[in-house]
Amino acid sequence: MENALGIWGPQAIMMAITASFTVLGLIMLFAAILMKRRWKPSYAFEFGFIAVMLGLVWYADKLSVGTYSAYQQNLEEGTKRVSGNYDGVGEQAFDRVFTVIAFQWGFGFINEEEEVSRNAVIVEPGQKVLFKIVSNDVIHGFNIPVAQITAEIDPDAQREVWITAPDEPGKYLIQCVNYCGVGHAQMKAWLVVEGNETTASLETEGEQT
Amino acid sequence: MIRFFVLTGLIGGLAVAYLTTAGVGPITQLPPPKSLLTDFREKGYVPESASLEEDEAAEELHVFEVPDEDAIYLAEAEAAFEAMMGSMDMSSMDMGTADGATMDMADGSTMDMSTTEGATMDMADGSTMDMSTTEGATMDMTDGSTMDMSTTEGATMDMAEGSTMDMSTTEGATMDMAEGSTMDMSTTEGATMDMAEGSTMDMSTTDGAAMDMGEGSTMEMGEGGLLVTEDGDFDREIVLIMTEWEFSDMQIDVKMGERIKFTVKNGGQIPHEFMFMSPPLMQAVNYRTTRADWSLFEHEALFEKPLVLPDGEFSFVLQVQQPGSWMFMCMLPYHMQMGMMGQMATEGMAMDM
Amino acid sequence: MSDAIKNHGPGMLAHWTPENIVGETSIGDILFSNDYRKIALKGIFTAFIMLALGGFFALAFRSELTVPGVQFLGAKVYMTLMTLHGMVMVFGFLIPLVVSILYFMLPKVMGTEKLYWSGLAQLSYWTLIVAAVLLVIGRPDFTWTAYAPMSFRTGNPYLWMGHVAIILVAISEFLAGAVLFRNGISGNFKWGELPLMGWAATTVGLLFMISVLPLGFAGYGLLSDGLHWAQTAFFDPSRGGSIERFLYIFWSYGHPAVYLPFVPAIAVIYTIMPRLLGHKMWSYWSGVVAFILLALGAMPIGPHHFQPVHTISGGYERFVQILTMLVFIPSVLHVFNWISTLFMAPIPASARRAIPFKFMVMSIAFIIYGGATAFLNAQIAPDSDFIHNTYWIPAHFHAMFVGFTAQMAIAGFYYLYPYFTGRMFNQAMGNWHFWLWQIGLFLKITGMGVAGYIYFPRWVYDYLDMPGWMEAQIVITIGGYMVGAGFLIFIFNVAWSARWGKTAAADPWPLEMDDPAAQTAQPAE
Repeated sequence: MENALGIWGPQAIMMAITASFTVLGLIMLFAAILMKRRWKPSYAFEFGFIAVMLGLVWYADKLSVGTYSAYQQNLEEGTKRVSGNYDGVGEQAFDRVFTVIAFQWGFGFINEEEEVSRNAVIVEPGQKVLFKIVSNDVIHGFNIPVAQITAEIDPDAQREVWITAPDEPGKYLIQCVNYCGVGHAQMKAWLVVEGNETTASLETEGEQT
Repeated sequence: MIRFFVLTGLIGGLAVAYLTTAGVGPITQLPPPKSLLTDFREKGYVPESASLEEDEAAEELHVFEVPDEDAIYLAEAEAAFEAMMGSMDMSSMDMGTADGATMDMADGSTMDMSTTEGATMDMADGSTMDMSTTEGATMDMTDGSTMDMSTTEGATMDMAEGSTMDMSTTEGATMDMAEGSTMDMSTTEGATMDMAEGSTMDMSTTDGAAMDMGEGSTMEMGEGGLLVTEDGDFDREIVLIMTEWEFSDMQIDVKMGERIKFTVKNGGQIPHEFMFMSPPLMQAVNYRTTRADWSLFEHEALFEKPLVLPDGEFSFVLQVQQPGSWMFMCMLPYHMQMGMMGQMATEGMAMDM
Repeated sequence: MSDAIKNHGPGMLAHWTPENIVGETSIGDILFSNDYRKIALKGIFTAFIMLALGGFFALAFRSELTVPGVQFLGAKVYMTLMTLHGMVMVFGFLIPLVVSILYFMLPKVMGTEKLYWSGLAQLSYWTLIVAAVLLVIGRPDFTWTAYAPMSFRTGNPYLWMGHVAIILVAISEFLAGAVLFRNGISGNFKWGELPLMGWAATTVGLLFMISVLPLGFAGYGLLSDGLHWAQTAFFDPSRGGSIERFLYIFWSYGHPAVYLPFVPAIAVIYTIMPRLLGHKMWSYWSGVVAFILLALGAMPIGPHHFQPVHTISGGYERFVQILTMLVFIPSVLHVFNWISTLFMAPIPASARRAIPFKFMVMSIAFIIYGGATAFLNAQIAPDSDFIHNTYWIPAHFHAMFVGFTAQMAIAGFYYLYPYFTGRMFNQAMGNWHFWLWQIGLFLKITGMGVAGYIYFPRWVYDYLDMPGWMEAQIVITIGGYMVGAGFLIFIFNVAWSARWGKTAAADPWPLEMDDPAAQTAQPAE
C-alpha cells in the first residue's frame, strides 16, 4: 500500500525532529523550574539556537517541496514522465481517470465510459487513479485515509488528486472533510479495490465479517 | 459586582442553553441558485449529458451491503404493519367501484371484516382477489359468509355468489373461475390457475373482466405490489420533477392494475436519487437514517435509481398490482427529512404522513 | 518594595494598593463607568460568562461524541452548538479577556494611571454585547469560519444575524485595537525603556486595526450574498462570485486572529514574570524584536489555512509555507527568553507556590507542545496528509488558545485578583483548578491529536466505527469534563473569596526566597 504523497520517509523524519525539539523544550522548561543549578545563557547561545531553527525551516521546506513536487509531476501535462512502469503524460499516465462530483451530500463518480456511480469507485490493486473533482455547490473536502491524501474542493475550479490504489483488496473509506451542510457527517463513499475476496475494512454493528 | 455577573451569567446562560438546544428550528438548507455543473459542462470538466447511465459495477460487486440489524427492524415493522392493516376497519373499504382492485393477503395476515353493521366486500365484476401466500392467509368475510382461506399452497376459492367457502386445504388448490371474475393465484408453489399459455393477465379491467389463461403460464408479480419495467404499454403518464426539497406531485392516486409511465426529471440544482419503498421497508431503516454510516450501506427499496444529476431524467413503467400505499423519495442524507418524500396510494389506502 | 522588585525591568511595577473595587461598584457603575479598572473588570467578568457558555456548548457536544451513534443531538443542534462554541470562545471569551486585562494593567505599567480613549473601550464592549445577542438569536450553524457559500445557504430564518454579528465583532475589535495602540504609545519613554507590554499593545493594536478590515468586509459580503443585494455576488460562485476571494479575505483576518489574543498574553508574562521572580527578564530586545516580527509576519500567511484547495504547487504556496515556518521564530524567541529568565536565577519559594506562576509555567509548556504541531501544520506535504481538517487541527489550536492563551490570561487574572477585591483567593481551590486543567487539557489535546492522526474528520456529529476513533473521543471527553470541573471550582473560588477570602496584604505578592518554615530568625529578602 503506497501513500499518495509517498511521504512515509520524510514525514516520519519531520515528526521525529519536531517531537525531539518539543521534548527538548519541555525538558529545559522543567529543568529551569526544578533543578537547583542555575544557568544564564549567553546571547550567542540564543543566536545559535535560532540558527538551528532556521536550518530546520530550510530542511523542512526542502523535504516538503521534494515530496509534493514528485506528486505534482503526474498532474502536469508536459514533458514530465511518471517514474516507474507507467508511460505517458497528463491523463495517459494514469490507469484510471474518474470525474468526481462532490455535492450536498454525496459523491458521484463518473468513469471513463461516462457511467455514474453513487458513492462508490472501483479499481484494481495497485492502479494509478486520477480523480478530477468538481463541486456542485459548496466547498467540500475529499480525503482518502488509506491513501493519505486530503484535498479541499473549491467550487470555483476543478481539483485533481491522484492516488495509487492499495494492493490489498477491500473497501476503503473516502470522506468529506469540509463542513458542507447538515449532511456533512454522512458524506462518505467507498473506494473498492477488486480482488478475489472483498474483505470489508470497515466493521460496523450488525456486520459479521 | 461579582454577584451581578454570576446572576447575569446564570440567567443568560439558561436562556442561551434553551435557545441553542431545544429552541433550534427544523433542519433546512437552501440549495444553490444554480448548479455549478452547467458551467463545468461547458468547460468540459463533466460529461455533456445530464442523464448518465448508471455504473453497474457497484451493484454487481455488492459494494453496499444491508446491515444485519435491518432484518430485525424489518420483521418488527412488517408485523406492525400487518397488524395495522389487519385491524383496519374494512367496512369502509369499498372494493366494488374500483375496477380491477386487488387485495394482497400477505403472509399470516388476517383480515377481519366483521363490523357491527354489515361489512360488505363487494367483489364486483372484474375485481380480483389475490391469495398469493406461502403460508396461511385467512380471510374472514362476514355478513353471512364465512371464508377461511388458510392454505399452505394454492388457494381455492369459489367465487360463487353468496356462497360459503371453506378454503382450508394443504395442497392442491382447485379453483372454479366463476364467470366474470378474475383471480390472481400467483404463489410460489402450486398455484393452479387455468391460463392460456403465454398470456398476460391484465388486472386493470373494466366491467366484466375475463381471464383466460393457459396452463403453465405465469403471471409476474412485482415486489411489494409494484411491477416496474423499463418500458412497455401504459395507461397514464406522470412527469415527476424533483426540486429542493420536494417532488412536483407529492400525492399520487393510482388504481389497482394501472400501468403508469413515470418520467422523473431532476429540475433542481443538486443531484438526487429516486426510489419507491413500502412503509415497512422505510420503518426498517429509520434507526440509521441520520447515522454517519448511512451512505455506506444499502437500503432495500422496491425500485431505485441511484443518482440523477441536475437536468437529468429517466423513465420507467410501473404497474400497480395490489392495493396499498408506497412512498417515493430521495434518500440522500437529509433530503427526505427536508421534504423529498411523496406518497402513491390506491383508493382509500393513503396513509397519514 | 524591595530593591529586587524595583529592579524588575522597564516600565512601572504592576502593583496597586489592594482595594475592594468589585464590592464597591454599583450596577450603574458596572454598566457605564469610564474608570479603567471598572471597564476592565466588566470585560473580564463578561468574558468568563462567555467561557461558561462556550464550555457548556462544548460539554454538550462532547457528550454526544463520546460513543458513535446519534444519542441526543441532531445534526442542526450539534452544528449550532459547535458554531457558537467557536465564536463565543474566540470572539467572546479569549480576545475580550486578554484585552481587558491589558486595559487594567497598561495604565499602571505605562505609568500614566489613565486609560486613554476609554470611551472607545466602552463602545467596543457594548458592540460586542450586541453581537453576542444577535448570535444567540440568529443561532447560526455554519461553523465559526462561516465558509461561503454554505454560510449563506443554511436556511436559518435569521441567518443575516450571524453575518451582522461578524461585522459587529470586527468593529468591536477595531475599537479595542485602537485603544490598545493609543495606550501602548502613551507615556514618555525612550526607545530602550518602553515596557514590553507597551511594545505588545502597540504592535497588536495595529494588527487588530488592520486585520479586522477584511473580517468586516467578509461579513458584509456574506450578508450581501445571503440577501441578494447585488446582481453579481461577492462570494457565491453560482452568481458570479468567487470562493477563493472569500478564502483570501477571511483568512487575512483569520490568521492574525490567533495572534490577537496571543500577543497580549505574552505581554502579561513579560509583566508578571519579573515581578514574581524578583529580577529582570533575560533579554529585553529579544522580546521587542519578537513582537515586531510577529506583527509583520502575521497577515501574509493566511493562505496556509486553505492550502489544500490548491493543487499542491506553485511558488506562492511555497512562499506561504516558508513564511509560516519563519513566523515560528518570534515565538521561539519568546519561549527562549522565558526559559532563560527562569533558569538564570534562583526561583523564590513565593513564586513556586503562587497560582499565577504555576499557570504561567504550564502555559509555556503548552505553547511548546502546541508549537510542535504548528511546525508540522505549516508544511504542505503533511498538511495534505493527515492534518487538514482532521482533529489534528483542533488539537493544535486548543493547545495554543486554551493551553497557552487562556491559561496565561487566567494567570493574569489570579495575579490581579487581590488588587481588585482586596482579598486573596483560596489557595487550595486554586490548586485544584490548576491540576484539573493541566491534566484535562493534556488529555484533551493529545486525544485530539491522536484522533487527527487516524483521520477523524472535523464537524461531524456522528462517526463511523473505525478502530481507535471511539477511544480517542472518550479520552477527549474525559479531558473536557475535567476542564469543566476546574472551571466551576475557579468560579466558585472567585465568588467566594471576594467575600470571605483572607484580606490581602499591602503587597499581595511578596518576594520570599525561602519558605517561611525554612527561614532563619531573620527573614531573607
